[in-house]
Amino acid sequence: MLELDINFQRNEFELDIATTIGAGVTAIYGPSGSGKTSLLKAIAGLVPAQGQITFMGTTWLDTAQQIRAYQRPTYQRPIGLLFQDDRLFAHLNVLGNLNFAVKRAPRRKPEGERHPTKPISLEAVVEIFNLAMLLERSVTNLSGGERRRVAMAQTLLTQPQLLLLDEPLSGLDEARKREILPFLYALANEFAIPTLYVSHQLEEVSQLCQNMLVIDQGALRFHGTTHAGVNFVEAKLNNLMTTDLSFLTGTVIEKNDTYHLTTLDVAGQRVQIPQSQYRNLQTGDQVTLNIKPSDVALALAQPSGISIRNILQGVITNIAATERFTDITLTIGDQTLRSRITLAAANELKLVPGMTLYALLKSSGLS
Amino acid sequence: MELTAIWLTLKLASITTLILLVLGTPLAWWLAHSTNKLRPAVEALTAMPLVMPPTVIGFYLLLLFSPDNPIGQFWFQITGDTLTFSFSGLVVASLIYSLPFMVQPLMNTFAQVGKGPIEVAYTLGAKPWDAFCNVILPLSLRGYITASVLTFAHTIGEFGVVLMVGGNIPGETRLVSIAIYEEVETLNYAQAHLLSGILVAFSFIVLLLVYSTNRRAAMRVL
Repeated sequence: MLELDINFQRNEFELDIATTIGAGVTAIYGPSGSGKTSLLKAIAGLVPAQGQITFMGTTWLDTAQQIRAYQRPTYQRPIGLLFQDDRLFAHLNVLGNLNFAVKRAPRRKPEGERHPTKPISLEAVVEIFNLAMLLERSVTNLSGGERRRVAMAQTLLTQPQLLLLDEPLSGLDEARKREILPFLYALANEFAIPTLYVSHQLEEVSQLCQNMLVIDQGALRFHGTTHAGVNFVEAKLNNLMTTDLSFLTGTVIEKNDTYHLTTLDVAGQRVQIPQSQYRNLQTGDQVTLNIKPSDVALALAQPSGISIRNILQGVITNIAATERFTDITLTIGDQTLRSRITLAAANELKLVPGMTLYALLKSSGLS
Repeated sequence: MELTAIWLTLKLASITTLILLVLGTPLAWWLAHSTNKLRPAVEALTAMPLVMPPTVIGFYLLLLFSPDNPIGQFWFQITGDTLTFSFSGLVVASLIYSLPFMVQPLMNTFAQVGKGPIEVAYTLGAKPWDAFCNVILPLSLRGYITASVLTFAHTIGEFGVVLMVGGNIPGETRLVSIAIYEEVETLNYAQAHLLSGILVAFSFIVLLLVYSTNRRAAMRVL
């Protein structure tokens, strides 16, 4: 769908990437300064790049042309770019900002086969992003979360065929993130628009994206499913880990509406999680769980008669002791889980690599 | 009263301001956003009229405008009039002399507005002209007001350049500042007082206007 073969240079920095990105939500993951935003801007046509970009059969960039390099102007590319810094127009109120996009949307011809879906209406985005009360407000006195919601709505109103989201959760505190995440999930998933999601947070990537690109120092290091990508980053690019969370991916096998629980198959073992508030999971859906090492307890034998519902069998692959804690890495099937326990507990259990253990996860702590 | 001189001065200042709004906008935009190596040189050239003695500018312009010079000759051929000692000559001279007063406030405004809004406008499907008129212009409005007022006022206050290039022809090149000079020369202090008083009051009102709307932009220039 989106074929890239681009080279971008600025001062000492060079970005060189060739890949083909498919439908769904694809993360562009990498540390700060790895070229993620540059890649996004090159796709949008906002920075000059060398090479080729083709979207649904239409050339957006071709600098190999004999006579004159071709670059499709940004305003002709059917993209919706959500900038990292909120960039609402200060001279217009909220409705004015939304209408700016509405007025110009019909001028852009859709690429490829004509989009079969209905255009996204102003009424629909006002409803989805809960903006009815804000329409007449000046954008200069909106809160950070409100600004993001207006920007997301504005992006959708351009009727984009490709969404480019540049770290949409950066600069927000935890409370704001929780407020915005459901809207972001709606933006990326409900409209079935192919999406590139730039982030340097594995937690976000694992929750919102099906596929991921890993970029480091301007080069593409990995492109595949998020599940494989997270494992790749853990195994090969440990310096890029921005979190001590573990990520377990599972498939939904059962839903229990009485207890509001969803059962997953994680590497052949069962894990129960509370039903998501903003995501209606169906049997067969893939889910990635973010697990804090401190939420994982360990047992030498399979325990019984306890409230914890999730007990996963695994093998110790690594033990790292710090001053106060011991971090145990377990392998569960093809996945990795970390547990943080106290030094005293580690000594008492006499843990050694290769040992088989039971990891205890509280269902209510899983998301 | 020197009504003709006052009218001519206002006409010159208005025409200069309007033309500079058109010419100064792209130049200021380029200076604010270009990464070209020539940018500092162009910026320095644009600011030259701020530091050069007006008589020096007037002297060079007089030479350029002379019908013996290709530029003066070209003008004479297409208009049938000379640039020296004519109103057209005064306009061209004022454009050069007042250029920094238009370009610098605009440049500061454009730099302050930054590239962000125009990038958003492009991604929302706006073409460059649309993006400029509906995003950059309204966001830069205060800068435009400052730049226009300063250019207008500065053109009214010209003396050295216009004396060198235009001389003192009533109804054609006799501006208020030149009229004052002549009244003083002929010891006609009452008239000189009146005209000077008008200019003093005008200057104060203009600066008051600028400082009360946009303090920072004005500070940069003055």
